[in-house]
Amino acid sequence: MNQDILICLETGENGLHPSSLELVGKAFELAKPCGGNIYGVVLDGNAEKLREDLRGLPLKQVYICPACHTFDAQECAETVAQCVRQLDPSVLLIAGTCFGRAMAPRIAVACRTGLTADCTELERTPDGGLIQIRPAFGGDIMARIVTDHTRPQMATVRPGVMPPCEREGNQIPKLCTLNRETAGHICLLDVQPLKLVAGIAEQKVLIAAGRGVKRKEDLMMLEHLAELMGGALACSRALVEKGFLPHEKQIGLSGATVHPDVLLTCGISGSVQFQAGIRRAKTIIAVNSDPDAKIFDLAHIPVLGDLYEIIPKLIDRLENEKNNVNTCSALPSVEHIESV
Amino acid sequence: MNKRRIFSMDESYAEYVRDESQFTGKAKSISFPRSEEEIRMILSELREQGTPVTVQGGKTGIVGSGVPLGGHLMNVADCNRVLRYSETDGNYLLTVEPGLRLTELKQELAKLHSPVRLFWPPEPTETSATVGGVAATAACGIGAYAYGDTKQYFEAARVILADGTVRELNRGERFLDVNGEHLDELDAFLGSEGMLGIFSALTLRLIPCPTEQWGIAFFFENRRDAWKFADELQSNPVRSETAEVIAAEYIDGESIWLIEDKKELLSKLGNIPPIDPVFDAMIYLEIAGEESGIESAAEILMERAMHCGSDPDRAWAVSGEKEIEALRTFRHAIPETINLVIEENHRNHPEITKISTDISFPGKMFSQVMSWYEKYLDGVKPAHCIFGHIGDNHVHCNLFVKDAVEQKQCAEWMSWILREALDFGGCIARENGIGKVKRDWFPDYDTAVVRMRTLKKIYDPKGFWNPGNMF
Amino acid sequence: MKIAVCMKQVPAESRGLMDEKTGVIMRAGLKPEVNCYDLSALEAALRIRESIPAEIHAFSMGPLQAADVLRTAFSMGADAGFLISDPAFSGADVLATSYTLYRAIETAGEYELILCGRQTTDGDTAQVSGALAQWFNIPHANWVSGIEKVTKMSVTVEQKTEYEQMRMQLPLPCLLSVARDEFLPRLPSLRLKMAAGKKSITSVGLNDLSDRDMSHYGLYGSATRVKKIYPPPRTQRRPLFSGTAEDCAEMILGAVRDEVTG
Repeated sequence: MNQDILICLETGENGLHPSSLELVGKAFELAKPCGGNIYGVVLDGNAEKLREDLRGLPLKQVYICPACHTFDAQECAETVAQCVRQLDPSVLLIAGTCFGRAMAPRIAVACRTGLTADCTELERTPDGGLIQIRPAFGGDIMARIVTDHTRPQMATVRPGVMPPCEREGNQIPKLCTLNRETAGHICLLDVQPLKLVAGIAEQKVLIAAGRGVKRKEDLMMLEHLAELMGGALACSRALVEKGFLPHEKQIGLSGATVHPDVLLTCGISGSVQFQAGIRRAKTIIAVNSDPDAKIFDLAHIPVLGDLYEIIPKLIDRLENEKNNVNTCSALPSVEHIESV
Repeated sequence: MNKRRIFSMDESYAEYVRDESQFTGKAKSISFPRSEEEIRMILSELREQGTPVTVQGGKTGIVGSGVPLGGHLMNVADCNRVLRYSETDGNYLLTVEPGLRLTELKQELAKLHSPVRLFWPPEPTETSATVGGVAATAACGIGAYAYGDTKQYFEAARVILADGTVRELNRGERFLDVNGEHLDELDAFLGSEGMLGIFSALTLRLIPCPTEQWGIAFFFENRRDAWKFADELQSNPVRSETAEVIAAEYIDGESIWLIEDKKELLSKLGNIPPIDPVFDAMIYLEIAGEESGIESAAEILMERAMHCGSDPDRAWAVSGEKEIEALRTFRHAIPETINLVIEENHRNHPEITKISTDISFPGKMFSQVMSWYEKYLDGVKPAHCIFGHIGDNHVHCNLFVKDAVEQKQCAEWMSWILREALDFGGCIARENGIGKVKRDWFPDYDTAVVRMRTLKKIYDPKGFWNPGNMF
Repeated sequence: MKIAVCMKQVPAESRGLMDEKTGVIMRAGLKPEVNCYDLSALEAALRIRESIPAEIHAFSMGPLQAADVLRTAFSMGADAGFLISDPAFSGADVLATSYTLYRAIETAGEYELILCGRQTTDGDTAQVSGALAQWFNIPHANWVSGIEKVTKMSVTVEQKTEYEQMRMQLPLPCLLSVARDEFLPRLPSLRLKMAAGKKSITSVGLNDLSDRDMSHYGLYGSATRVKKIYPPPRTQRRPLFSGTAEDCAEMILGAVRDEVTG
């Protein structure tokens, strides 16, 4: 019985999907306690384009099936199952993307094996067992799950949960083409890029302004911060009442219920009505100069301070980082210099 | 205890000198006491200075009762603990501090280790209001239809008077004769809009939850059909051995369209499907009791609705706590969206406040009252909507004034209509209070006003509490 | 046309009712409810029936109380309801659950279309739908945001993934997992709700299935096993962070980075 890990890799317009890099990184760690090789399987990919993307990744070999269509989970699952039969891996990791989540359960049934979806953490035992960790009951409980007897042990992981793999060295893993055994039955009629309707309820990052923001012009600063953080501006009722922002931006009982990953409140006291709109926010960072502000009861990161001093500093830091990144990408990569 | 408890009024407290009516006031200082002890300490300081005090809780009031006109503003929303629970011989009592919000009360009731599930019948749909606010206005819930007047669900109250004395008012203990009325002293304080004293604790009478509860919404293409249905509900109440109608609400087309219009902005209405604009009115009912009894009652109601032209295939029917909560949220969205519109208009014209009637007409037929309103609204320029409780014909008519001129005209109309309503046998101050907003519209001879003048002389002759309310 | 809709009963949301002393979620007294996402699946079926004749059968797997789910399905318009219940079925993971559903639906006949909700509120993230499709060996599509056309042979759907909107045609029989926003469930109609109490529900137990091997179902038929559960770190009022504006900005940045990049 081998301890190999197989990963479903995803590709897109920009090459290898970030979630794939995260899985490879995790697999590298998971291989340490018990050894074993790491393999990848790519569906619907272009072999030539793929090579560069795989450079420096700790993969022994990557199977590619160009004939597969990612919109057909049945077709893709069959191909991956084929790959599983060939390799008989101990673990199969799939990203919790739309594509991955459609395919994973089909593979699990095809292989008659266990699958744990949306793991937030993974561990490996010295005898190759995969510990699958995820929240249950809506986050009220954490569970550690194992797959006792069947193989591969399957898990899906949401993108952005694990850190991406660091590339090392210059090697490109061997590519091997897989033939599609059975054609799928779905016919694609057309594809269009998704037009996102960006209301505040759909945002992942929100900057919320409250009564502590004194003048309408000050909102420009917060709008800028929102932009730098890749999010949007919202507010409490107070600012809608003052006419600073329209009702569409209001969070609370008589406004929107939001569930961003990050909510940064500036000068919001946190009334009962406001709190009702933010209960599902993942991380709440609250900035307020009043130590008794109710928002501090809910905030994961309560910051006692003056928003007029802190926000400009935050903006400065983010702008500096942005500039640094831009200058870095202008430098040639170290590997190219070495190979010359 | 050297920490400063009384804060000077400044910009950062601006949100506290206003309530849902958009009426804005002012104050010299503000406090947020967290216990009876703190309340008393702050009060003794203010008494020494001779500063009058206005009490406020959740700021959900719609007549400005909790908005100060000067002096000190005491916000008791931080006094929100559950103090005691007792249960003897089927009497379930819960003593709480006044700042406890109704949503919190519901959660606390779920946590009680009681033999049966309990609830508190006065359930105004404004769930972020405080228990103290319910006591101060004697606000009805939609369950008043079957469960009756709010006051009976207060068993006792602990009140601090102007001179600093603390009184325990227990139901049935002490009675007063006020202008020929024989009043339980506790009832004198309930609905007194904070003008006689401040509540530091309230004992609520809870009752067991019904086994099953259904919520039904009938839609009518012509509002007169809805009125007919309501008439029949009144003249021929629907009741079976094991179930009865506990709530009956009327919602006119204008109110429905208002919600449909603002729905996108209110996440919590996300589960309610859109309502066909062909409908001119709807009636929302709740039936509680045993399942078989509820089904018989629903059967009767369905037939009546059909006779009144309402299609039972398009009527909504839900059961279960969560589903009923969704429909109640919908019902509550009416005054909420009204208040949003008024707030918007107020921003452009600061003279604008909420203008709504809060009149019940016991003993009349629903269609009579609707026709009465039709008559008195004839020629009134601003748009309006009417919704409310069918029991006692206790509906609210809201006017959407657009500018200062209309505000003035409608204020005059209100003064007039309140007098006409009294003539027509109405009771003109039922659950929202009079406060400052309605004060000038009320005739001096209104019973509630007259009663309060007498009580005020007894309990607060110096005018320490909530000056400006009612008169 | 025969449409099968899979509907699950889930615990009511905890709604913050955690016993502060023990950290345990209190569910006593909160009745279990229909998974709201499955109501959308039923809604999708009802809309299909508005354009072509179809019989809608609701299936729910769970303890006897799950019959409530079927009553709700009736009150919205489902024609028949099947309660898949047996002590042998309990404790099932995705593999065993989907297998149970497969065998149970099989007993009721052949369905051209199987509809599922997007996910459940109690943790399962749309895995059962794909697994079920695999057992039936039929194609499936998740995140269906629109059903354009249904014929005797195929169904044309609109699907929204993270980046794209696609229109696809699937042959029948197939399985669809539908999105919520585009299929906002109707509220039950009074007439249907009154009739719901009288409609009969078909029970499906282990002995009704073509495969009666107990080891294929429930806990024994599951490939995964929960080894341990523990409460997550509890949120208490955290100490206020204060310092220079620089320090505060640094701290906020760190927190944001942790969150955004995992």
